[in-house]
Amino acid sequence: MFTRGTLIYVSQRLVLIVFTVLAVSSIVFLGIHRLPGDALFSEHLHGDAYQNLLHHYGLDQPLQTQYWNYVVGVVTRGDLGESLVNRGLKITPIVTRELGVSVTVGLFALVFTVGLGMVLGVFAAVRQNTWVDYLLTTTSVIGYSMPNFVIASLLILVFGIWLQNLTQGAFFYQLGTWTGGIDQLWLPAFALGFPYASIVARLTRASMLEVIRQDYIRTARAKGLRETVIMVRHALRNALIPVITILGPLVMGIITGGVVIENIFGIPGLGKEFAQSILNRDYAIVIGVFTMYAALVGLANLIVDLTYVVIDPRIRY
Amino acid sequence: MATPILQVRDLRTQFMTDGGIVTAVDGVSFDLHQGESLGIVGESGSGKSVTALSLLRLVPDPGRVVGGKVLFKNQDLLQLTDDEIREVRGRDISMIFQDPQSSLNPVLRTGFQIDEAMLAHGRPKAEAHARTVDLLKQVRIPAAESRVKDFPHQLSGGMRQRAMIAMGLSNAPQILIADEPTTALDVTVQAQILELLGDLNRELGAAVIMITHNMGVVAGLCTRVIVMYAGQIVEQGTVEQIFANPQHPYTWSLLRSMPRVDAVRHERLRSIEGIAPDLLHPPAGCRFHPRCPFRIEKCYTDEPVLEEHGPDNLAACWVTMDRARKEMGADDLVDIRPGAGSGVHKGQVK
Repeated sequence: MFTRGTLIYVSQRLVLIVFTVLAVSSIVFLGIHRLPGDALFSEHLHGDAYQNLLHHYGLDQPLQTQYWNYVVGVVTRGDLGESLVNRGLKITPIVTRELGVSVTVGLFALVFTVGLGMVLGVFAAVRQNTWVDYLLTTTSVIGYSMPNFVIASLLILVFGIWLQNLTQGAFFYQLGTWTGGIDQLWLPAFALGFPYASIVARLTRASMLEVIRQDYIRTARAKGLRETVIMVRHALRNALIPVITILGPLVMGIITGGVVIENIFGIPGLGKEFAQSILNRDYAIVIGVFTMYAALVGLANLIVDLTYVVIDPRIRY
Repeated sequence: MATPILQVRDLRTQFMTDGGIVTAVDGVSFDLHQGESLGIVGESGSGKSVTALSLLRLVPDPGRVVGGKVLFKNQDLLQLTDDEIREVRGRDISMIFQDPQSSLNPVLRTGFQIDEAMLAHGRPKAEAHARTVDLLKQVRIPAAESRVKDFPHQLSGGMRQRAMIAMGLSNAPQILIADEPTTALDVTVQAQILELLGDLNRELGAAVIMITHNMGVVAGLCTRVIVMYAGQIVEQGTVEQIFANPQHPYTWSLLRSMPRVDAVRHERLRSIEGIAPDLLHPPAGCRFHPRCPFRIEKCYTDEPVLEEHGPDNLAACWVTMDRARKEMGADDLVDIRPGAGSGVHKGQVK
């Protein structure tokens, strides 16, 4: 499955990711400093106080120098700088913690997407043209017709308001904790994953229907295998090949969709920070968040590409 | 002769298509004896493959076996429950398919796919695995020990078909059905595979049903032949009789359409005029009459049944080649357009 070639391939990709992350943070660095106004603008400071602050953050230096200091800080110390709004707060620990939160939400959403999508797709295909199929197909049409923020709002309405006695309105975890309980995570994960689960379900169904007409399924039947073995071992694995092809765009969708979902549910992840820091002109945090996103997207794509090898032995790197 | 191990009686398989019901197998009956090698020949669409699939109830949707009996060891395979027929498949009767490329699962290791055939019928894992290597040696795959770990795409076409045969033989079945096993292979490999099947038939004593459109394959491997046309058996007999003295004009035409090395150089290859009938609307009377050089008035209206025309020969024809030779000069016939020999044209041929 994984050979020496795979190892070389993975290391090449990792190097590429490092450069991509650097490039992204550089572009964002230059871009954010071009925006009118600055983080200290809202504090109505004048004179020496203002200059002192600018000097403390190095904002009085020419842009090239600031950029150089920034890059050196990132590369040598992994230091993304200090927050301008919450003075003195180091950013690296903040964004890495937030990254962890976002990845947890994203992974749960992915479990929903792939797990639910696959199971629904297989059932619909096996029971093609029965009420099971029609019910599942209709559900998935509804699923991918609804944007995740609509689903999120509906879920809050039902679980947070109508069922407040049961849930006490809590379905996100408290700021400052690394990971919350799974019971608090599943609603946001569902809202984030369900539209994509619908896409996966439809794709799995179509792909299963094609695969179960293949000659090797007939061979498996002729061997006298059980129907469940034929479906899971022989059909599903082949049916997943087209499904993992869309896993790349799908993971991107979950990462970007997370920005919306985190803001709606108030989850203290990268997505929430992303929106707030831009509004606050908190330069260093904006850059930090973008850097983390770039790394996340790069790694997620690498993992998706590696799943091809696991599913289809004909693919080698 | 001893009781046949497989008796097929009046088998009928239909496909419910959008255009209507297509009867792909229409009242097929035959016997298969222990250790025998039976060939079923016919053009594409003659129902030979569907016949084979019907025996194990493997006909794909929207097809269905609608009638008849398939008696194996005194039980009707068509009446068994799904679990019971599963026990028969691959253990008592196994099947090899046309295209080894698409008949092996691309994501599973070749050896595992053979193991699986034995595991499904209760053989312990280690034993199955050891036997897989033996089987691959038996079908003459070099370096069998390492080949079991290969995926199908790492094997050549011929090796894939050998692996399929190994899979078919894994439970030492009493009947092996080979559905055009050489069609997808190149000629030299075809010969090797046929030789292998012949050897296995002799050594293991399994009865073989060989489905093919190639008369040469039949001549090389089979002892008895069934000729199918438009879902029905039109002639059956021993391989010697069929080749030396075919009784049905369709069999005769099939043999004349075979390229021969020893034929006169300038003689053109005779194809059978016309196309195979549309089974949604099969012709009235004899199904071959629109293409038959020797048809008579009766062929347009009355459907012939299989009748004995000599020792161990059955043919469904009102004319038969014996009469066509004597009265219509079949052997000297150059023009084999429909109706040419019989003088009955009905305006279709000038």
